[in-house]
Amino acid sequence: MSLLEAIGLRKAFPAGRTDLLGRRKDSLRAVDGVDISVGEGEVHGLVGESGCGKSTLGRILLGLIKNDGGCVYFMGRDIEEFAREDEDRLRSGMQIVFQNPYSSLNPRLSVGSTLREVVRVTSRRNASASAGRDDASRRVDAALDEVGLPRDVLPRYPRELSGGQLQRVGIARALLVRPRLLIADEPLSSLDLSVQAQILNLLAGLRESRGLAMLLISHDLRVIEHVSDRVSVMYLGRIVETGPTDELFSGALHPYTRALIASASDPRRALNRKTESAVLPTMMGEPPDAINLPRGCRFATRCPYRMPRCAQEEPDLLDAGGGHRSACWLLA
Amino acid sequence: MSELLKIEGLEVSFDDPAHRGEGGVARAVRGIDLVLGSNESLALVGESGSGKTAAVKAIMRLHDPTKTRVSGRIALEGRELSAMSEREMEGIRGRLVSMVFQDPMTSLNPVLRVGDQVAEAVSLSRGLNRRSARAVALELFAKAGIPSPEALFRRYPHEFSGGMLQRAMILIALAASPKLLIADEPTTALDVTVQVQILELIERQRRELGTALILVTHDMGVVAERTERAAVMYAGRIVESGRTLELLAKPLHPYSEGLLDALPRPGTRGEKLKTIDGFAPSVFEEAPGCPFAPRCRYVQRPCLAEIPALTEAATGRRVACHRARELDLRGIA
Repeated sequence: MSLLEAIGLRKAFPAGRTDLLGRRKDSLRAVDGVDISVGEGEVHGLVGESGCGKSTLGRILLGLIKNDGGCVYFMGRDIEEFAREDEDRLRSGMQIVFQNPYSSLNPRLSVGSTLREVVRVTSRRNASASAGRDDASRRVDAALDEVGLPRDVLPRYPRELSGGQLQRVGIARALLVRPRLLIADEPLSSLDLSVQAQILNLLAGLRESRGLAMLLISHDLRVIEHVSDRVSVMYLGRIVETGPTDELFSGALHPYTRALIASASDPRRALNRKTESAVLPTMMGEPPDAINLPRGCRFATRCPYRMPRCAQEEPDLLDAGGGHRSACWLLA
Repeated sequence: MSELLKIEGLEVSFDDPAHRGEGGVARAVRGIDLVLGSNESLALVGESGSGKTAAVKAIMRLHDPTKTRVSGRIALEGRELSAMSEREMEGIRGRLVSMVFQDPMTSLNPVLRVGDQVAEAVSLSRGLNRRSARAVALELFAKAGIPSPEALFRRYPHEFSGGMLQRAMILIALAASPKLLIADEPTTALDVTVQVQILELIERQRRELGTALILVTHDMGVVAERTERAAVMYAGRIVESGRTLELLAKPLHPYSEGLLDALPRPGTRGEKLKTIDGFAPSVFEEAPGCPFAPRCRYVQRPCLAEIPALTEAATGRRVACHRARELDLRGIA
């Protein structure tokens, strides 16, 4: 079994119009039957557009949102049972890095206090009396080194740091509990381009140095392609394609994946187009209302290859060999 | 190609009492020269804080005069904008130059139907009565790829998706067939599959109306695919400009090279990306030398002494770097 293994995850939120008593009449199925796994030391990229449910999925995996259906196994144990009996160990095994580093740190605590607090809590748990103050500052210093921050950030407050520095603090905070899996939810999207490259290098480096497994959630295909071993593409609550990174990018099977790849603007393609003069294949329209999903394949309303069957039956992930699977009737 | 817009020595600074200790004046734009021909498309590229938005807002004269100082010359079709009264400016905005912003939700009136807002722009610009303006606006809705235009025409902004709102904003901005459209990160808030559609809409409308475009963006892919010329901004100045594809294939400024190097390349999975280390200089200060020098991997002594001027390096190529002639920088070709 993989380090993290989730089967048949479902989560719906009340949504839409309200009845007389203010109760929501409809529900939005944010995660609608998802299997996903992350192996030991593996980087799994989860890509999708806003509202596809990728962040909800990440939070279910961490146990931060309770799922309606399905199971999450971490290190071979059901996380619900894990959380009841051994919550500290679950929390220290799996950590998250958030999109917005400003809002994920306490503005009233200095960087040093935030990081020392993590050490204090984790060493209390380990109950080793040796974990004194010296040990705490030694561990905090080591974490700063690891994320490439100078010691002089310790007395400073979040508002005094740049976005890139704050994201490094967020990563240091996660590393201090020595996790085996990091769930990084859009860790780059609030950062400038040149800073994105720094944080991406940092995350890739941690995987090398610590053998840290990662679920990297992002809307940016270039970022996902650069660091992931395996990629899953999510659309309106479901994974529509999954496979090894190279295969998925060189031979995307699902029309949505192909459209995503074609839509991602790429300066190199523009340079080459002078000779090719190829017209970009683009996708029609916008996603349907997530509350009233159409019958059949949920991509059918925008799909250039739509067949009669697509409006009737929803395809499951179909095997294309080599771990590459696509939820599309074209494959059947 | 005739000259549509000419900017000379544009400076924009904001009073910022919160930073009184550092002088209290944020110098966002520090001397920009720019020429744009009619029908031409120009990308203004740079990271946050580089002064792109402050510069283009000055063209529309949208800065609050009580808190902002704008100096320099901005001429549109040979008419100096800074000399105009606010009343004259109202005749320019929308008619000669229009702007589309990043967040369409905050640019539309939330209590008016979207269709009526488009119709109002049409009626003002073409002098049509309400009924004819509505008919024209409805046609525009359909042309802009808004599905079931008649139903959506009667909806309010909060009932629109971001992509649909941005389409409506573009229709409003182009209702009077302006000579220049300024689009400030028009697709940054949108999903990539919708981004493409919005950029296509701008492109199509622009060609049809013969409108010039200034596209403010940080996305190199968008720059490459949508603009003829590009200007790279750093710390309030243009550090390099030229034909877009030439600039991307062979940048002349180390900062441009750094930006392009920071993009993941195909076939380099897992490799370390090159980064630009350090930070952009504070908007409150001015160092004596090249503003990029502290982060530049090619820095030499003269770079720290004098700010390099933006000078012609080749036909249509301008660069502000003391070492531009000797450096052989890497593009993305």
